[in-house]
Amino acid sequence: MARPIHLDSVRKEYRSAGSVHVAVDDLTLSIPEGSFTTLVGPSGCGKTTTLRMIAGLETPTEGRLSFGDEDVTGQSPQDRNCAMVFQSIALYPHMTVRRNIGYGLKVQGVPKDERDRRIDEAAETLQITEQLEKMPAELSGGQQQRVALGSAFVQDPDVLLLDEPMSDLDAKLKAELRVEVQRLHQELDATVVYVTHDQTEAMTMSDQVILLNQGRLEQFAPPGELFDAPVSEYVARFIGTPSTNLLPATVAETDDGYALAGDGFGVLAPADRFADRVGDSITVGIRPQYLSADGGDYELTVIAGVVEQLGTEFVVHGHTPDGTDVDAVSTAFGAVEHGDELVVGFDPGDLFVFDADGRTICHGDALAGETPRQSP
Amino acid sequence: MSTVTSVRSSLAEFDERRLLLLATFLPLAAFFTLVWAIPIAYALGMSLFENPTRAASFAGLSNYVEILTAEQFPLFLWNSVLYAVSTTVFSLLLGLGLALVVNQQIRGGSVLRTMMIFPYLLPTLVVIFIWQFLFDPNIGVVNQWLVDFGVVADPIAFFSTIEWAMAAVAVTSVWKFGSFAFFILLARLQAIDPNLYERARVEGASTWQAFRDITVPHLRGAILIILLVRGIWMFNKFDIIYLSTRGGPLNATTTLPIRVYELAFNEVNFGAATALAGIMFFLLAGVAVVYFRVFEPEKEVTH
Repeated sequence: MARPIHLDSVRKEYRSAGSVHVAVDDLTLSIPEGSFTTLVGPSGCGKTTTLRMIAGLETPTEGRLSFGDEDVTGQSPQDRNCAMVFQSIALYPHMTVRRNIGYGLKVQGVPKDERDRRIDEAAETLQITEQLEKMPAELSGGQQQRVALGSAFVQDPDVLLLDEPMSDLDAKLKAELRVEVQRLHQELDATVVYVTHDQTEAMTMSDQVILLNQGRLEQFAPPGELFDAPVSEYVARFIGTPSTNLLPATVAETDDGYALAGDGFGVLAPADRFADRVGDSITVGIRPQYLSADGGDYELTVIAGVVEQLGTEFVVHGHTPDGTDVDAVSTAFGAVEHGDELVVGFDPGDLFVFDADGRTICHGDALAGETPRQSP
Repeated sequence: MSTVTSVRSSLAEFDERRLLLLATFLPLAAFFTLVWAIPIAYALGMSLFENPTRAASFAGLSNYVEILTAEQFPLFLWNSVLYAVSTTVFSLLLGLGLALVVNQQIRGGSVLRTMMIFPYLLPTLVVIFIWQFLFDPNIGVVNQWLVDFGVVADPIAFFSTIEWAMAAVAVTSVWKFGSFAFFILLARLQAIDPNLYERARVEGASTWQAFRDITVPHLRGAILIILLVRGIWMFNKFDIIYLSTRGGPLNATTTLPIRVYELAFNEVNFGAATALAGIMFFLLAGVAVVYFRVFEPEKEVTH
């Protein structure tokens, strides 16, 4: 039975030799039952600590954690019906694959026949039937990962926790196992929480994404919203590859109204949001994919540095004349060479505008109405 | 022409490899012959003679018969086995217990770990003095406690009482050699992936189940090697017993090695002494064969 997970003002600190390190700070969120939720963020942002608190391997310093209506804050891991897949895979090296998968059932007192039936079923699903009598050391990395998933699967958990399970695998295996994990989610009646530092995994697999920044919740939203409507510069930078371009600008009052004036552009801005910000330093964000080689309401000059080919697309890593780094992605940049001066266009609808503290002032939809007079 | 050269070069290569093999193997073989094979063969040879150091006369197996049929031989053998098994098992349990404690990240664990090396470093004589002092009937703290708490009415002279001498020697030995098991087991414990325990907890295993199903299998190889080498060493142990009790009182702590010493240097009967040493050798060899057959210690946990 899948259960929702509620975190209420959860804080976790580690004390060592007089110093206090806050790993997770004032985290409040509700993960819907049966959903696939990804915890994402850079190393050290507290995502694994959060997962371990859900598993019961760490106890929150403050705050409350509950599964549905049941308060599990002080409950030991044995008493929560969780299953967890560890980053190090953590297969028992002295047990065969069959015993590895069945260990959880065995300690819970499931009879042998029932155990074997469920192990065979899980092995079937994960295509590791031939490996059942082998030792973990005889398996490849991908097969070991399948065994770890299998032992989580047979327990029929309420909550399935995955801690960067694919970080050691190559790209092809990752893609394969991504599908496997999603299939497991569909077959299991469980709330899945998945930790990764890889935003591609987060974006492709999940119903919603929790993005953490130094132990604090930055944004909790479905992947699409995270991509299209980041609440801060941090989110915009973290989600999407290459990273969102950040162009420094100031709010200026012009004859046409208000404008976001940067190096070589002046984007018209609505008065209701910017009238009281005249003179403020702001940052304009634009995704590299939205800088196009032709067209666009506004233009930006980019001096090309390194050009990378990604299949059909080309990534230009360059900078503006005043030295701000800018990346642009398009199929049209094939002929660009180092030192070339490009003029790329963009539409106001694709912009994000952040204040000096990195919080979002508005997204492109608020700017899109303000069409410049000179454009056709 | 080219075939000839290639054959010749491969021959040269072969010779070179063989030379290297010989050059490394010969010194080793010579060394082992000199310090190992010859003394053993010599000692076993001596055991077949009557009065081998002076007027040697061939006696066949009569020395062996004499030893094995001696009235007190079963007692000496029993003492040896009792001493070897009890000290090995208890030093293993002591080391295991302390290693498990230190492996939990408790406060003062590193201090305890450092302190554990001291019994092993202390000279045997000092260890014996410490325990004779502790067990002393007049000033020993152990007797004082036992009397104070009403366990015994009168102090016991542990090292010189027939019933307690073996126990006193065994306690002294366990105290000294417990750290051997401790360090081997601690190193093994620290090599276990902590995630295995976390996974077991999430899967619902109790602390005891995790110990039984993860810790014990990981320690199996180390425990078996400790049992083997510690068992052999304790079976052959001479100094700690002889220096604390001289095999007494009334042969209560006379083990086979002490009997060998008595035969050789008190009774000047080298024939019988070497015969008994030979018997010990064959006993241990027999036990070792059984050990390797039964436990298959090479079946270690693989990573």
